[in-house]
Amino acid sequence: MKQTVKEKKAEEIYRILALPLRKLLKACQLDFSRLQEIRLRIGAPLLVVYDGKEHFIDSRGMLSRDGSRSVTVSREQLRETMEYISNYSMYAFEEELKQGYITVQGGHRVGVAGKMIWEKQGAKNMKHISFLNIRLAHEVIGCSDRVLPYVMQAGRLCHTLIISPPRCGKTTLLRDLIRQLSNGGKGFAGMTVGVVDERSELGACYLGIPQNDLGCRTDILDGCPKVQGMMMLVRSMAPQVIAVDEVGSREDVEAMEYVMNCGIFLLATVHGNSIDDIKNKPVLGRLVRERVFERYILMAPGLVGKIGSVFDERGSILLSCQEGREIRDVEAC
Amino acid sequence: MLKLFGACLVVCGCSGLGWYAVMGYATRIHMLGEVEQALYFLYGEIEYSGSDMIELLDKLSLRGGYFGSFWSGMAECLQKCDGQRFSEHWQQEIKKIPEIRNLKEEDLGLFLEVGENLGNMDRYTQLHTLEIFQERLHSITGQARAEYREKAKVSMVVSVTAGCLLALLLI
Repeated sequence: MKQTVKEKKAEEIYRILALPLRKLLKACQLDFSRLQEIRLRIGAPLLVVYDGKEHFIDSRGMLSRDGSRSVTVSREQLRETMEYISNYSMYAFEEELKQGYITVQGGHRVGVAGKMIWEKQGAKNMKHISFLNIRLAHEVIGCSDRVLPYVMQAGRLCHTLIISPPRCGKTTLLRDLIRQLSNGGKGFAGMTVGVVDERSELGACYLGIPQNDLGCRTDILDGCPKVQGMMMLVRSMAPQVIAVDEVGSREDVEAMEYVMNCGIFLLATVHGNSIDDIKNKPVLGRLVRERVFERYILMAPGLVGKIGSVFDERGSILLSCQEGREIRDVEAC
Repeated sequence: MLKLFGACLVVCGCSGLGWYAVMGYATRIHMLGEVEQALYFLYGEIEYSGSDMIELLDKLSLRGGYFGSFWSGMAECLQKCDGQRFSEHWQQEIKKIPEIRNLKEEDLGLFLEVGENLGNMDRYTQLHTLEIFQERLHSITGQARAEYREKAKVSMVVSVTAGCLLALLLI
């Protein structure tokens, strides 16, 4: 079964790569559960982030730390890769391109950079795309087991904010939390969860069907802006929990407040290194100061997918881990 | 008696050729109409749902008709991601349509141009390009329809007359 998941992920990634790059990567025989990023830049070496370290790929399909023997990505290869990423339909990804990324089948996010076209209202489009960063989504079933007892209090979910810098696994943790809350578990019944999946990273819906397991009581609004999505879910799907990824703007915070005032529990993630970082954010900081969130989960910096610590609304530490190992368990609820 | 039977066969054969030519004109009009409808469909779907090409081609293939196998073939080719460009697949798949010989060179040229201009543009430019193709195709189809009656009549008259003449000469 595990092998099948790996193979599926490999197929999803091979499918979007230009033929010569695909052959090279196949020759590498990488373990896709350990592959985090593939970076393509026109005229620059082909780079992968594997096991948290950067490697070049040489012409024999070997990982190397020496960039001089690395294969160089050509304009034609990048164009071909973009065709596959967009399913030969650049028009269909116009909004995503304005944001600087495209989410592909499997929930993998492809960051794009090139020449931006601006108009008065803001970004209009992007052309001459010359840089791609393919970030692999990793579904880790059970990765939220350790924090689950802390986000539940007497059978009731706490409003929870997951804090971490990019590439530390906050989306992966959120995805597993959603799945567990939706399915139900020891000491609590399954809840109806509404997910606003603006970037299609949580559910990785393809033709409307989630590719990742988000539980049996989960409704997903795929590709919908967070603010409108939260309102729509409240009005239409009667959720007990709403989950959103990467909040931060004033509108996001207003929508979150609205959701919480409706008696719905909120799970959200935000970029940051500590609670203080979030306190210093102009809008979201107010919610932290007002102790609106009841739990804060900090991912361990530099360790992908490892929990750093869990705090309550007063900032008291409930769980502290070092290098992913539990070193302090103050109050398991 | 045998001569009369032979003459009848010659006349029928020549009339059949005329009928075949007329059917060819009709098929061309039907094919152009199908392409026109497909362009309208693509325009609407791109404008309304923004679905990607593979999904749209799959939907188009469900309509069947002369181009049914072409659309499904295109969708299959694109899913393979085999290193070929969209326009290359388009050119190869066109050749597989059995009735493609009924289209004139200008029709085929336009259809190939459509393939070269699909998928690689932003939404506004894509829709604008489709509009231009729709207009050009509309004028070609209009002209083909206007010419059809005349051409059909001429083909039938010429073929029957030629059959009769040939029968007379043979007798």
